[in-house]
Amino acid sequence: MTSPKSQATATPSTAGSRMRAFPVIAAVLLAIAALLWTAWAEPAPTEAEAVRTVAESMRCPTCIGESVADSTSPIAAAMHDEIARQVADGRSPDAIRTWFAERYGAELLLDPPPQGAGWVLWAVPVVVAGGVAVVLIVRQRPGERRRAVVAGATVVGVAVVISGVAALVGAAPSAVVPDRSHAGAGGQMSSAEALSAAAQQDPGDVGLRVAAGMALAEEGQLGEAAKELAAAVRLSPQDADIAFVMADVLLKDGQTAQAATVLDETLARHPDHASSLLLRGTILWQEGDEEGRRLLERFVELEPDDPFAADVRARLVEEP
Amino acid sequence: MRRWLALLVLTVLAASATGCASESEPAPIAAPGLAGTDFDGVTRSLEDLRGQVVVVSVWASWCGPCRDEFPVLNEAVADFGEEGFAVFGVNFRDLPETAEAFIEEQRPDFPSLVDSDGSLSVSWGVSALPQSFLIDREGYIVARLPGAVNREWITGVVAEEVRR
Repeated sequence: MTSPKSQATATPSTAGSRMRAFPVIAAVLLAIAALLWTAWAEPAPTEAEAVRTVAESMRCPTCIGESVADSTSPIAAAMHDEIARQVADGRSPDAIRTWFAERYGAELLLDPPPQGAGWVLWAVPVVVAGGVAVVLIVRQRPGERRRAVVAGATVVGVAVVISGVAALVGAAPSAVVPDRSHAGAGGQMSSAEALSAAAQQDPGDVGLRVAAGMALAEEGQLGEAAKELAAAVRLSPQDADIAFVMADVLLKDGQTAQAATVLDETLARHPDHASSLLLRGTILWQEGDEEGRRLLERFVELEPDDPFAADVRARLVEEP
Repeated sequence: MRRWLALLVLTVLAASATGCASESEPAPIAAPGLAGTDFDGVTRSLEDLRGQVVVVSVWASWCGPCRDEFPVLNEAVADFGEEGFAVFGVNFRDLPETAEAFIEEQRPDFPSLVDSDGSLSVSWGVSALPQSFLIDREGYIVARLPGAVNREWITGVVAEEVRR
């Protein structure tokens, strides 16, 4: 037999509370489902994007404050090449990061995995908030527990957001302040100045370095052009085309011996690089070196339809 | 309330203890593979030196402090070579002609692998140049030295490992 007091806290009010809570719960679940759908529906990144993403998530071990993606240090360039190799081999970003962490330490990673004491720092706010939520719920009278559950869930949710934001802020590398000193007298930048400034902002971008070098060369700043192209060659030492552009600029700047060195090294690695064959062959031909003939003949053999091929053929015939 | 609070504090403390325990001194690790060709085109491997104490030294011709350590490494080879000690160089991302000119100038008494794209060095976790690794006779990395090798390191750390 129930008492009058227990009848005062009977089922109908509790049932009503549950019904009012249902739309809130449904809305939260729908929001979570929408977020998950958005994540799954995003198009897969390209290989270059994947490389960039992984490189941005690792500190340069040489240049403090820079990521591997942005650093121009030779170590960072070598790491960048290794990342590209592993992405091309189909390894996942997490597997690549783990590979580097095993060799350089977890401190290399800009967002280390939650383990050791670092895990505790991430989890403490959530654990504390969870404990508070449990206390709030347990201490409430049965009729007010619904409000306590909502309050408790809100506290936990806020703690998770705060932990996540703190982790992101802690992991972000320091920003690079743009250098405005390149602006001309009238405040207008030339294209070469603009590209140089952009390359300073993103010094690990080989394309920007090459573009800046070529723009500087067009404006007659051959010394500065050679520096940008040398940086590009350091970032991508296996790229014969970049080395050729650098050799061409050195030649125009009167540094024939340096240009010859660059071309000889390129041809040692890429003996059929047509542009290098043409340029080095021409230099040697003009010096009266018979090796020039061999290189020019090889160029004509590889690129018979090249606009320069007819001129080279004629020259080889004229001077047997 | 006090029981709940105590439980919460215990949970956090237990997690902290777990975290601190997991950051204790790492055990020596087996040296990664290291093989390739030297400047004479000879194929060489660190594995061929198993049984000797080896200093793996990563250098480049564009690295100023690297010049300081070559005489020290040569001296170490002369002092300890007959006790089972060797030096194994790795030339990191260098132009062949400038690296060869550097070798001609420094005259090292040890070979160096050509690591033109830096992949060998990255697989060893090289973070700056010069950098050296001390490998024991079983093939484990027992010491790392950032910066140029100096006599103190040779007569202290290396000599101790050779005479172990």
